[in-house]
Amino acid sequence: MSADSFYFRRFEHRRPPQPLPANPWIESLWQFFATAALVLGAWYIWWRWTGSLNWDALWFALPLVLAETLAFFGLILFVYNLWRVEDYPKRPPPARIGECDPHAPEPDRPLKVDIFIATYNEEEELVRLSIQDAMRVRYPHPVELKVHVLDDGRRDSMRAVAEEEGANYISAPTISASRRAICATPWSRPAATSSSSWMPTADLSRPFSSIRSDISEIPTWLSSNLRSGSTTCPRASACRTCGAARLEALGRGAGRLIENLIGEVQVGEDPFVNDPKMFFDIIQRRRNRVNAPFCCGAASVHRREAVMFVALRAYGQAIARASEEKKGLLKRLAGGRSNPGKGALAAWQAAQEQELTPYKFHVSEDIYSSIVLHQDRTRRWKSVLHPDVETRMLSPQDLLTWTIQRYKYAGGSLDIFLHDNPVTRPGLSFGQRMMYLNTFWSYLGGLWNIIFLLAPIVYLFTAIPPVSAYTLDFFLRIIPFLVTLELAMMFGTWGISGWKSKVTFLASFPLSLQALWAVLRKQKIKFHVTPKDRQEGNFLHLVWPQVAIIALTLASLLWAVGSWALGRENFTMEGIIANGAWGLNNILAMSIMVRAAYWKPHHEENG
Amino acid sequence: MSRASNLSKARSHIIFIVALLSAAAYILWVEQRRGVAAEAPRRANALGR
Repeated sequence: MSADSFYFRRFEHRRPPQPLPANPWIESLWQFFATAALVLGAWYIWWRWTGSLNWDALWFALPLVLAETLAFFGLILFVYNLWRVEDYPKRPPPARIGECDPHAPEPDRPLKVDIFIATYNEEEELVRLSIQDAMRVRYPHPVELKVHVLDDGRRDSMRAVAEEEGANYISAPTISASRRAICATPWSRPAATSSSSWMPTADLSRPFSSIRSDISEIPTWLSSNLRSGSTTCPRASACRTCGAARLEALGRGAGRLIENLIGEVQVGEDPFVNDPKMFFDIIQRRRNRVNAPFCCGAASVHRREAVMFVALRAYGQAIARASEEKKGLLKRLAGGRSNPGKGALAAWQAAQEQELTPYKFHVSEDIYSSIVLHQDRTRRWKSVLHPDVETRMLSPQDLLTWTIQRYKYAGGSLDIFLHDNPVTRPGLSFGQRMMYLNTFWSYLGGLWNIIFLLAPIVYLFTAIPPVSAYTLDFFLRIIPFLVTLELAMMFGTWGISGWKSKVTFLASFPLSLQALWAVLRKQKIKFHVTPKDRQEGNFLHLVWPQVAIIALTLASLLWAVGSWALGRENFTMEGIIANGAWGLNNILAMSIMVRAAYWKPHHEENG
Repeated sequence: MSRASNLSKARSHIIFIVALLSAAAYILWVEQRRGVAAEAPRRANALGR
């Protein structure tokens, strides 16, 4: 494939958006409505447990009230996450290593930076673009910059491309197939062998192929990020999946008038909700106040000293643990007699078996590595999210690719949560624990979302309400809660459409349930490289649960209305209205995912 | 910590308290109204109406 035939070339003229402006008035409104929603929500949940359960149908009432309670706990965590914007102050880029590390042995020497481009099976021409972009990175002071291509595919063709472009080629003879299967990027080798102070990483699953010289903001990546702090996670912006157009383009006069009234409107937008504003501009940015933004792989910049420090400490602890086990084994072999020489032998054997792994070998090694850095109470490493867009990434072009990517995120995060939970282990501050818990909790959402999707169907088919009755008591509690919550979310995510993220969260319940099931069965969440090209075909088989929910909800709605009109069953008008509206909201959310299964880029549709 | 950050924190605390009190006032009002509404038939019965 030639370099010009990649889909994203058509969008490269686009300028990255500015960070969302921090507005104290909007933030105050968000905080007001969020607090009110939490108080009213707590009141509602209390009443649900103490005064509203349908004791004749506890099989239905209890799961629903439990689901509501778990979702409400998630809301508390989310509000804590979004509470306040506190950007990290921008500082001028350092000129000498002494400005990064006052204890450096040669404080006056220029910075050394190694840029690593990790690849496995991506097209060589795609990687070539990344190398060229990496070579164009600028820095206002003298800097020793090296570009390395880390090829786990060990391809001669890749070596040739790297050498043609003047990059250093590193193949992966030492990474075993099993390690490759669980490791997202071969980060560990560069961390161990690099002599630079900073290690920007370009994860080729999202290559920074758009670090182009014609976009002036982008080559500032380094200057924006080599400030103090162990890890920086510059905001990355995805190339939009399809050609979103401004409403203005549809009809100049009418479009402008509407946009003047309600703000910019995008049409033909990405059906996979890949727009990273919600994640970077809202969620990650607001973690700065408690030093909890986490590394997301692509475009992150790590301070080598931080990574190696925690790795060496973990290495030492692993050797100590293993040598204790060896000592016990040697003692048993020697018939219970202790020998001081055997201690040294055990330690030596243990050291031979352990491996220095600067980054965790894990499908979610990016967030995992951030957790390890944050847990280091000795050095208190800092992580920073800079809200300015510094890189662009590729985003899924089809539902299969999207599913592979999201399954990895969910499975990897849940695996950490259930097997090495940082929330309960020592090291993190209270704020960091809350932020990580928020991330993990969101991946458990499938557990309560499936109940929220099934509950209206159950009522509309059976006329059995999960609450004692749809009375004024119910509406006086739930309506103020839902209204204040909607207003809170509107102000909390001011500048972006929070609705899309919300419905994607609801509609992706099969993914999070599958990931949870895999982790509970202790299945290894393997790393499948995210495809970079659009996968052709029909992806209806991926959305059958969503189609089933739509069909069941519609059928149940018709059944309930028909039964009520004929005076059969015990349906009430209030019950049908409440559950009907709930069911229609669910149908709308599911239909977005079903539509994504059929989606084709505009140029393909037109042949 | 910068002055702007301190101001932002103080503002957040004030808004938190105002919102808390507003929501609590609504809850009390509803609970009181519902209490009165539940009491009315009982009183009516007691008065023999």
